[in-house]
Amino acid sequence: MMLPPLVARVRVVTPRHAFGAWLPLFLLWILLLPLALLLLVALAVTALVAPRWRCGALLAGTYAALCEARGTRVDVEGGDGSRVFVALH
Amino acid sequence: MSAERLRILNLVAEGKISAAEAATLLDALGADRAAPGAAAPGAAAPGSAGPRYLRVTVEDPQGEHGAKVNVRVPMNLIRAGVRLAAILPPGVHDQINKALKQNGVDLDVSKIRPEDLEEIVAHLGELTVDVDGNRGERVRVFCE
Repeated sequence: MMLPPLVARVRVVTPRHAFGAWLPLFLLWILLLPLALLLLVALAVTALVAPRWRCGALLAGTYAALCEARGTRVDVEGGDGSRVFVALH
Repeated sequence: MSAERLRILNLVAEGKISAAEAATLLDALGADRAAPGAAAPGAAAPGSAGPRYLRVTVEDPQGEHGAKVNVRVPMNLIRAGVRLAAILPPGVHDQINKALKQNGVDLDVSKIRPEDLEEIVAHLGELTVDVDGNRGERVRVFCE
């Protein structure tokens, strides 16, 4: 089963402070579920009004892109010791 | 190296066959191996092999901030993105093409077909860009 990123690892380091966290994205998806249901209804109406927009395929493609974002890593290091690291799991 | 290849090279070394003849034999040997059903044991299925990530690294040790950037993007995300571009309606294609052109990319996204995706991603796997600047900055784009 394809799942969107469930956890994001974030680390921010400045010369004075360091902050790191595992963000539970799955909670965000649960919170967004009612919005997603509303979006589904809106897309169903759009599909009836404008079939050329291929709403079903667009929704599936967007969801697939979101799911495949797992494994993305961005690491930016400054010369002054500052660093920002984000990874999606 | 296989025994057949070694034997052909030995024949060249001994002067029994010419280099051109050896090349023909080696080509034939390669074609036999590439033939359907003759895949090496354990060979990965098409589409499952190849690089998993596109990496972009930027190093600028003598720059204003001496920054280092290291980005890893899953190849499947690129696949999904191109697939998404392929199903966008024609009106949106025009807008994307226009925006890309404004940013110096002359690409018609409407011509990207889902069946071409694997080929695009496969060729992306061979991509390696290595740029060294005169101030010591370095940009590398590669797949792993």
